[in-house]
Amino acid sequence: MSDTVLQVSGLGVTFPGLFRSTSILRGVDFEVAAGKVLGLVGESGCGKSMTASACLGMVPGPGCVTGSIRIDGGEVIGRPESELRAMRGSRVAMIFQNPMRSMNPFFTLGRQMIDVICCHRPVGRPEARSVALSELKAVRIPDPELALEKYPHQLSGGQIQRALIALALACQPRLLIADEPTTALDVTIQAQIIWLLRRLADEKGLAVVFITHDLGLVSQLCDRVAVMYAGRIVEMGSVEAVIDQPRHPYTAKLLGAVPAVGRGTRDLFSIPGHVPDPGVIPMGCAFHDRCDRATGICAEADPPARTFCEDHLALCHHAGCHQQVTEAP
Amino acid sequence: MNAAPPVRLVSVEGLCKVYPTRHGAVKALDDISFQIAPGETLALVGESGCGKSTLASALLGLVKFDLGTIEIGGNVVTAHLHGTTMPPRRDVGVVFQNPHSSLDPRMKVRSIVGEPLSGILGMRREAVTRRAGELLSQVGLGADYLNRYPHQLSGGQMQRVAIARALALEPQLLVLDEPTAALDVSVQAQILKLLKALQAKSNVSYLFITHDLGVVDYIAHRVAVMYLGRIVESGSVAEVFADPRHPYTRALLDAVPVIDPRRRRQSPPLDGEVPSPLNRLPGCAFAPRCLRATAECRAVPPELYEEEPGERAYACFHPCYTLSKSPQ
Repeated sequence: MSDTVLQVSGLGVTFPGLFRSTSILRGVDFEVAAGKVLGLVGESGCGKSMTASACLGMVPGPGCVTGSIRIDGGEVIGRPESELRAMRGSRVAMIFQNPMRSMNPFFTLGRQMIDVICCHRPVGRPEARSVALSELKAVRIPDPELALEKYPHQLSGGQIQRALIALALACQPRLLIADEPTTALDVTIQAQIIWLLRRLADEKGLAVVFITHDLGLVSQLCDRVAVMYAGRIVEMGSVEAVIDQPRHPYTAKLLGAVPAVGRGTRDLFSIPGHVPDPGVIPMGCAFHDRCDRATGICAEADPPARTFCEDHLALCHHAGCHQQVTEAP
Repeated sequence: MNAAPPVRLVSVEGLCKVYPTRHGAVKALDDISFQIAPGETLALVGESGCGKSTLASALLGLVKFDLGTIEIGGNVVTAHLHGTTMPPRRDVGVVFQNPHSSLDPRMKVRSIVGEPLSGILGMRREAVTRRAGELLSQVGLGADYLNRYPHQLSGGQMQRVAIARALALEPQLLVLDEPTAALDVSVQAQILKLLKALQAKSNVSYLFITHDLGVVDYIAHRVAVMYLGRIVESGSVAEVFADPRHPYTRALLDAVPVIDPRRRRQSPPLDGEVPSPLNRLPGCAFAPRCLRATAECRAVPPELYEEEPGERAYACFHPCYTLSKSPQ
């Protein structure tokens, strides 16, 4: 792939425990090229957010990180904290789920933006202010001059999320990690933010890792999608391939479980049971106890990674062609 | 559709609620009227701050209302001078959005589900346990869950317990305030299916509050779209979603991310945000964001116009029509 910005291979995160250690990530591999958006999809507890934290070198506490994460060719794992600090914000930026909690309520938006810009770029405060202004204009905040003087509580959630995107981009990073950036926002505002992210990827060549649980957003925004389950990517490929022809039964069922407009009252496909606790992941394929295609081998051996056309990859012993499930049997 | 006028369980007429604040009055509900028939699901959709939850609270007797009438199961309550609170009723149940905060962490499931049984029906201990077990089996949980605490349950299981508690007094109306918003997709599907099955069995009516239009399409019979304290459009889900009249309904439907990479948005989405309810404009609240807005829209608020009496209504001077149906 040309111009790879982020390359993650064999990423594992394990937390030691008194009696056993807990593996949150169990070998995650993916790449993101400049100008491309990768969607990281999965249910809560599947390791999406931990993957994001690992990319920024922010795995908390006694967590033990293995494997390799390369950003623009530079290795993240094992780097000293001082270098990581310089990398965060300047080369990689991140936006979070709840925009209100990402800002300090005691300072104006302008003060917070200028502080960050001065910290990462060799500019004085007046220049930093003009950078902040032009970035706010780029994300189309109404009255940017006025917005700079406002405190976070005086702005709406959508405006703050725009401002955070502006701030994230002020230091011209190559990679943006967006961790469920629209979950706290209303649908019409969500559509605006998605439109903005797509434009930034297309026009500025920004590489984006977009973490979400909403397959609709993935379809609207992403180029490639990686479906995670119990600390692993179980299926990855272009959005068209994965949504139209899901190869992993989990992806197929997830698609069938979404109540979509236009689908009407046709029955939903619920998945029995729930996501396994990271401490007690079943042997073999982690999904086998919820899967209706599971056979003896699924409980015994780790499923192999099978590749289909256009580097569409699925981790399943029975990765055939699952038609998208729209009706319960 | 039956030709006979449907029997109604809930009827709300001209409901208003104003919150006085330091910065001025916030009109959370402005002349809200709707009806719910027995066994029917009415979905209430709208963005944050549009008054959905205030409306639910007014029905449940959690907030006072200033004007209007609420009728549930034949009992009529009309607001008087200083605001009126609905009296507590056993035929209305409620399920809240976040089961982590709506279930008492110090109580076992037995007490959570059994509290209304012993407290209101005055059931004895053994009878409570038996009935609580029955209720749990109705929501798909085994009797062994009776002795668990909420923290020992997953989010979906907790929401099932919350539903069992709401059903304990056999209500005629269940108010569901975003019951699946905190759940994962696969668990959400389980809960939605459960709610549908329960309704088919017991003919309970639902007032379903949500912002997810996909969920509305799956579970609701009728839908009311709210914008800044007013109902801007209402009708059967099939009709409203296929052919929205109000530009806001259309914008909401447009904003829903479709699971189809080939149907990607080609044009920029609706601009602007919901205006502050504090400095409400004189005309239609949606006018500043609306492409069809004219001087009339900015001057006078449009009345709710009933296209088919009791069926389909919208509040707009310039309603949208698809090509198949042209305005008279």
